[in-house]
Parts: sequence; C-alpha cells; structure tokens
Amino acid sequence: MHATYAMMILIGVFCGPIVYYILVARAGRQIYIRPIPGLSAIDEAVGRATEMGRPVLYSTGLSYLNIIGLCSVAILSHVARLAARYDLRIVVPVNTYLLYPIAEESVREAYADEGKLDLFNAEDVLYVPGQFPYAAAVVGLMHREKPAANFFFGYFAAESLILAEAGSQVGAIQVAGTPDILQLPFFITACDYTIIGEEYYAATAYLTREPTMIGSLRGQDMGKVVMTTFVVLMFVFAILMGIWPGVFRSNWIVEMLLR
Amino acid sequence: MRRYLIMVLTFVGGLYFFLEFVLPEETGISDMVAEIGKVTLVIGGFAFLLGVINLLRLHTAKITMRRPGYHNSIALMVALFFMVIVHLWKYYANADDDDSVMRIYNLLWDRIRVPIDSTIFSLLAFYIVSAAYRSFRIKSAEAALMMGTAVIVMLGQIPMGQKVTLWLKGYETSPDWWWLAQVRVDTIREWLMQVMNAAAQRGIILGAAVGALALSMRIWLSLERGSFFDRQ
Repeated sequence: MHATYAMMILIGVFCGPIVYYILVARAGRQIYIRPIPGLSAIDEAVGRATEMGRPVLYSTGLSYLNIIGLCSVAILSHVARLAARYDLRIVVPVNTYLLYPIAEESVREAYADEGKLDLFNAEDVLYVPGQFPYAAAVVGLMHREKPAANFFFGYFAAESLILAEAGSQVGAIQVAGTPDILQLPFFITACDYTIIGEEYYAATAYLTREPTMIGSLRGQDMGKVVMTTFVVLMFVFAILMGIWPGVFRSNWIVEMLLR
Repeated sequence: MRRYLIMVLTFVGGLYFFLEFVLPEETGISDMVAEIGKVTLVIGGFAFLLGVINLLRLHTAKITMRRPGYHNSIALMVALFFMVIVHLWKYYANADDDDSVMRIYNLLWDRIRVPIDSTIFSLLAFYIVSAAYRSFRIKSAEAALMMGTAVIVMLGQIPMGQKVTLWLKGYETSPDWWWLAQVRVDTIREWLMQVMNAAAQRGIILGAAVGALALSMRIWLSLERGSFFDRQ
C-alpha cells in the first residue's frame, strides 16, 4: 500500500505540529499536560502492594513486537523500577516470543538500576504462548500469588475480561490500558483505572516528564485540533451542500481524497 | 557505541519503510520489503528459542525442587515433548489423513487442545454476567442512563425484544404517524450503535492513531526516553 496525496497531507498535518512542539520543548518552554488519573494510579497501586507485602502482576496481553507491545514494555520498565525500589516481586507473563526477551531484559535492568539485581528472579518473567492458555495461566497465577496490584497494558482480545474479572476476585487494585476499543468496555467495567485511546501512547511521556516527549504530546494534540477543525468544516460544508446543491459540490473534495 | 549503532539502524530502517510508503510503486523501492521481512523471521526464531528455554528452565526447576504443583509441570513437559515429537513425525512422514500419526495428531490438537481452548473461552459468559451486574447498578444519573441505553440495545438485538415494538412498523406509510415507526426498539438500537457509539469509537480510534504516530516518531528519531529505549 502506498500513500495517496491525501495521506501525505495528513502525515504533514499530524507530524508537523509534533516536530514543531518537540523543538519548542527542547528550547526550554514549559508545556502543560493534563493529569491522567490512570497513569497517576500506577504509583498508588505499587504503594498498596508494598503495604500489603504482596507481589505485583504485569500483563502485556497478546502484544506482539509492534508499537503497542513496545509501549507496554516501556510502562513495564517504569512499574518494575517502582517494584524494585520497594523490594517487591513483579510477575510478568508474556504471550509472544518476540516480546518475551525484551520484557525480561527490561525488568532485569529496572532492578539493576535500583541496585536490587539480587531481588530479580528470571523465572518471574514467564513465556506463556497461546491466547487461552495464557488466560488460564494468568488466572492461575493470580489465584496462587494473590497479587495486590494488577497491570494490564497492551493488546488484548477475548481474554481481557477473564483476566480483569479474575483480578477483581482476588481483590487486587487494577490498572489497565489498551488502544483496542473492543476491549475497553471490559476493562472499564472490571478495573479501577483504565487508560483509553491516545492516553496509552502518552504513558511514557507522562511518567517520565521528559520535555521532548511532552512536546510531542502537545504536538499530537495540535494535530487533532487541526483534524477536528477539518471535520467541523466538512460538516458545515455538507449542510451547505444540502441547502445550495448547485453552489457547494463535494466532487472536488472526493477527487482530491481519492487521488 | 552500541547505542549509536542501534539509533542509526532504527533511523535507517524507519526511513526505508517511510519512503516505501510515500514513494510510488514505480520507483521499485517496495521490492526489498519481502527480503527485510525475512530478517524479522530469523530474529523471531532466536526469540522463540529463548521462550522455550524459559519454559523448560522454569518447569524443570519446579519438578526437581518438588515445589507445590510440580505435577502440573510434569504434565506440561510431557505434553510439550509429545506434541513436538508427533508434529515432527507428521511433518517428515508426509502423513495422510488415514495415517496413524495423523490420528494421534488430530486427537491431541482437535480433541484435546481445541476443546480446552473452548472451555476457557466459555468462562467468559460467566465473567460477563458478573461484570454486567457490577456495571449496571444504578448509582448515579450517568449509570441510570447507561443502564437504560443497555436495555434498549439488548432488547433491540434479540428477536423477542424486537417483537415488542414490531407493531409500530405498520405506521411507516401513515402520513401523520410515520414517526412512530422510527421509535421501534431495533431502530433506536441501530441509531445508538451507528451514530452515538460509532462517533465515540471513531474519536478514540483517531486519538489512538495519532498517539501511535507520535510514539512511532519518537522511537524512529530515538527521542523516547526514561525506559529501555535509551539504554546501551
């Protein structure tokens, strides 16, 4: 598949502001980003696990080695660092073999960074292939280990509710995040905090507060403002087409978009 | 040094796929896509091996140390090796459907593995009931609105629910009461799903797509920080 002219324009519309705001942030300008309760709750959940002296469970779901999986591992890195800081165990079942070595390395480095490499147990990062074997294994882990906090970040399918409900039954505080809209209702129902849509991809920027990354967040917001303005203009145009069909015609827009 | 090498490789790889997307097919830039895809397969092969080693290490330790539940690990190891042997046997023997190895394979896969999968999947029905019970408790005005909407959608989905307001269809041709035909349960359900729900979903999808684009750019330009991305 190759880009049409309309796609190239859209790439410019979305990438232009991102690059601009990254440069602005690098120049030292302070950029405000709104609080995201789900991401703020990660610290709270790990704190609760520390008080209860129980492990933390982090599921990457069925995430593959793609942008969703990499983002999940980035959040895992943050959670593992918090767990290491408070001498907690983190159990990480991984479903795909491509993500497994990255997840293991990420957790190992998090413990090493906190000077707690001796607490890292490689057996706590598990490779569990297959969708429903994964669901069964994670539910079993929850019932055996009784984690105080469960994190579900990544791509999930039908197993999302099985995992989240099982976590709810063992009384864990649960934070979930997925860009997949079909699983969002299940997570919203069964978890204490759910991160939706673009909040999922904003997680690393939000957690690290790195100016460059926050600049890119503002940039993507500006891209959405441009897109929303375009949608509103097209909406008005469609109404005008209905009123004055002879004057306002959609042909040229359709032709441009399909070229 | 290693970090810079990764940065350069990431940038060059990303640049290639970006150009492959924006440049027209006539440039011949797409010819290499399949070859580059093979690199992923090779890396995947090594990663798969790591995964299997992890499984073996974990369960061997569990069995030798006689940890609680070690008998489950024995079952897993037996199943793993048995399935590998049968699969390799089937592959190298070029087995037909009537061969004994094929019958063993079908027994293991179609009559054991698939039903077990279906059993786990069927648990979802019970979890949905308990999740729905918690969600639909009317604790606020928003919860009441959601409950009302859910009732309409559920009624509009099932034949019995649709039958409740089916008689309103008769007004479709009435010059004064035509609008009554539009307030049937299935029509309202369709409107809720096609207009209200679809609008919200598209909003989330648009936001997520832009978010993915921004994160991809950060990774491509090696700007992602504070996690494993900025490691040696």
